[in-house]
Amino acid sequence: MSMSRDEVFTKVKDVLVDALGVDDDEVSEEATLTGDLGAESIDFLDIVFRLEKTFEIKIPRGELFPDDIMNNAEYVENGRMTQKGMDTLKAAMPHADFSDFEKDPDVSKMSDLFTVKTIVNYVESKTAA
Amino acid sequence: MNRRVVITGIGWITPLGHDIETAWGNILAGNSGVAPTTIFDAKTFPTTFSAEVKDFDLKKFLNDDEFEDHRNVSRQAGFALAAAKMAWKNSGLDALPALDKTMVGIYLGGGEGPLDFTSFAQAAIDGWDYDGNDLDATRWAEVAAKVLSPVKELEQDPNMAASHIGHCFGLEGPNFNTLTACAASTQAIGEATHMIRYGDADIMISGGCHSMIHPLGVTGFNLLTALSNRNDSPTTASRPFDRTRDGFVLGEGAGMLILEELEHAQKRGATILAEIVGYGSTADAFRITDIHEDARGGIAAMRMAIEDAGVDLKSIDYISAHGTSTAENDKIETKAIRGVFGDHAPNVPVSSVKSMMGHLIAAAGACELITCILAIRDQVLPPTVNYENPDPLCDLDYVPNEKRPANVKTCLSNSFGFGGQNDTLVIRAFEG
Amino acid sequence: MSNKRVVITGLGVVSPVGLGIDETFDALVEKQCGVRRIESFDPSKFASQIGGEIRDLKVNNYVFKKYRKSVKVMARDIELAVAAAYLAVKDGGLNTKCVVDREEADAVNIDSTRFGANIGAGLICADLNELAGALSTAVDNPEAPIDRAFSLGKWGEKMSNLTPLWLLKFLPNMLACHVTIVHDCQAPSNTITCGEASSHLAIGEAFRTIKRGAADVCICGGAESKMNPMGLMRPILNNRVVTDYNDRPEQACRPFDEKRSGSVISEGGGLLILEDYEHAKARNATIYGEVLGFGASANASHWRDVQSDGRALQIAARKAVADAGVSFDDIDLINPAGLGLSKEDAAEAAAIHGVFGKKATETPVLCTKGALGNNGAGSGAIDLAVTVKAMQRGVCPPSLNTESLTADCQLNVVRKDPIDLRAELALSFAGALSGGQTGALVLRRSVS
Repeated sequence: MSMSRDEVFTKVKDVLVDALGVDDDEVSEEATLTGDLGAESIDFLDIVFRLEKTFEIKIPRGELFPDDIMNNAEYVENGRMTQKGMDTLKAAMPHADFSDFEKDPDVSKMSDLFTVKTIVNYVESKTAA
Repeated sequence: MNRRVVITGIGWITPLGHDIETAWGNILAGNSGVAPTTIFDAKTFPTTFSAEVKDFDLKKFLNDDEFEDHRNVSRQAGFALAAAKMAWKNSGLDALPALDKTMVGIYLGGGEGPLDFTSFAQAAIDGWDYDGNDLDATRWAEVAAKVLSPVKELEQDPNMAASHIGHCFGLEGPNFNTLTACAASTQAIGEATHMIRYGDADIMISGGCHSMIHPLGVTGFNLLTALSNRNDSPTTASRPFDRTRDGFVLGEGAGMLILEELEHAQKRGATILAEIVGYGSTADAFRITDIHEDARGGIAAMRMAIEDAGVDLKSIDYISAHGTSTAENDKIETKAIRGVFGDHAPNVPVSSVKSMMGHLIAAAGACELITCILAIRDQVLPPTVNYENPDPLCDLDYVPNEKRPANVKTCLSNSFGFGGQNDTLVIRAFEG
Repeated sequence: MSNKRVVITGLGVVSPVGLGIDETFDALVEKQCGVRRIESFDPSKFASQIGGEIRDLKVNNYVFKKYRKSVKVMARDIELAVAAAYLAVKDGGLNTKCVVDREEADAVNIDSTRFGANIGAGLICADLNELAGALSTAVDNPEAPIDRAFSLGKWGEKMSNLTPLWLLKFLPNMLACHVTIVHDCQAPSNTITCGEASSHLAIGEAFRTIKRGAADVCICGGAESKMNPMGLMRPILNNRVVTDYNDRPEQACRPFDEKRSGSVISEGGGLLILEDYEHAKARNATIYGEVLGFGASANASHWRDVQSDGRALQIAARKAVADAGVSFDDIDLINPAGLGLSKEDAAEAAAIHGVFGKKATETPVLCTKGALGNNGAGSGAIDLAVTVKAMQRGVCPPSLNTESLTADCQLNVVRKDPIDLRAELALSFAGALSGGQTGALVLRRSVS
């Protein structure tokens, strides 16, 4: 039986509270992991690990946080993501909301794609399957 | 009066050879020491290859009594002993009858000895309460007391390599071991230099040793996704500064140098290989593994070393990079070199021998400094192999794929470690 | 070459008898004992079941709020260092990044690029619960009721049951890593891993670093916890701990006493603030005393056996006293490691006789291990902090359980009760039980 979105959100929130040492009320759907919740690179590994345990799912490397695409210099030109990179990333991350990043594809803002909502969407798609 | 510090001996045990010339020859030829892992069966691990020291035989480096004495050393302490013997002989100190051993010290960047994994894992499983899903400390204690070996446990301490060397040579001067991850042996050599400058010692054996090619070492790095996963092509897996790099390759070994106060060396007519002129050490104080995006720690360490050396930026002929082949390090190290050298940066050749030797972790810096000494000796720069796809974020001269003849007088060597450790050494051809 | 004077301006200690130097020192003077039956795991099948536990340390109290997430990658050793660091900077009046972020001060009052760290660390023991839990999933015969066999092949796939951050908890330089991040120390930083000598060597190196002008301030010392199954098993296997006092833990560790039979494991950390004298004066810091000299040596006879004459200790002590420009006749307080081990204590006594001559039986000797046990890398710094405090307060705490000295330990060990102390100069030394690295420091109470 699949979980409701509220249930998924609550559990994701618990994961983030444990992994990032933040308070409950800091974890809104819109919060960005890096900017708002202070995640650094090792925390992304930790979050994946905890999500796998919590939801009993398997998250292949690069599926939730496709760092191989994001770090690929081929997709960057003058500090901005190329159209090819954008298309590749969008295809890899159907769970993310690209509306802001497409307007201003400055690679330093790429981490804003990782919001709490991105994770909730991803987990929903995994658990529904 | 300022005491100057020179290098009068070198020795190493590396994945590319067990003596100076063999390994150096392999480096200049661009040969790779990387191959499928044989120390343990890594077939099911995410990374199945590494840069191992092959066919190492400690007996070849010690006399019978010494071997008997040191037969229980850990793998890495064995490398350290052999490399120290080599360096000591190279320095001519073995032929010196009288030496004040209280003024001869040791400063290593020695890693911890490999965990006795088989026994440890067995005790862990026998001690695990599968029903309660928790460790039963009483059951574990009974098994562990039987299966763990007192000697193997003791030899794991990171200071043991320095202790074995001290015993082997009878050295009663300062004896230190630092373990600042991948920066350790560069830091050891820098601090040893200061000890001689200050007068704490006249001679220091300094360098590093490490072997993390064991199940838990590989597990630790694999879980952090730090290692290359190019299992189908081990020899091209370590590709520093190449756009398609995907992580570092674990190596093992030891590098040892004899550091000596200049007058002491001159008085005994020692061959001087190079002078250590500068050392810089800083902490990023930023994050646990992420490097500060402005490369502030690396920049500060290089500047400190260059200032200590009192040399002009333009006189640096070669940079031995930390160059791990991880996305992050190579990008930010490039930024750091640009930050220090500015517009001159593209004119300075930079290479990473990790492309061939792999990453020797605590031992890396010492082995890389030895390549700088040999570059000065032979007036040739070692290449960065597997460099095929330029990365716009790594836009320096990496001496791609082929060694290069060059006028080499002054070299800078970088080592950066997890936890934000940044260490830089500057050495120069000795000119009196 | 610059040659600065180096003073001590802050003391941070976490020990089994107290959090903070004053709490620890008061407890020592009051003869409290931190050695008790182990509670953090069930020790009943271990040959030794006692140790110096710290039972009420909450690491979140010692970091700034945004750093609380990093607590998940802190092994116990790291927690101890982080706690001791906070206590040290507070004691030293340093308003670091952490202190300001915690809103305990308005502005940072130290230049981060001139603030270094030299921290001694041990071989951090893996958290057995976590690692064994993951290893237990990699067996060939999971259904077998007993005698399950570990499978390396399965581990390759099952390793993902272990937290991906596992390695980061156990790298020795993570003590310094976290401390430098929390307090923003960007100057030279080092991690010394030389067993019981780690603190002395780290502090000696910090002393040299400031002396040559490479930093204004260094936070230095060490921390370690042996309070876990592996940390207890390792010294048991090497016959280093008391096994016949499980029913009387408070009497177990007996430095220089005729009934001594071994050391006791412990946990703790000590970090000192060392500072360029001019820098300390300029900010009106409270100065506890001065670091006058440092010397180091090593037991070259054997990495495991004791030198009965304490030769390496003598060499290190002589070097430290010469570096300080004083003589042994000037020293009026001695602080050896005093672990309660038969041969090691005798060797320390022999070394003291070797260098002090006739004064060896007169000079007061300060020992803490009867109350605190031996934590390894952090013990030396705790000892040094207590030594500094003893000189400042004019009181030497007694060595617990030192009752009747053996013939080979004829020293003036302060025992039974605290004594009034008028000490100007102290010598403290320690050697690594495994490996023989040795360090000695000479400290002066006042700054003239």
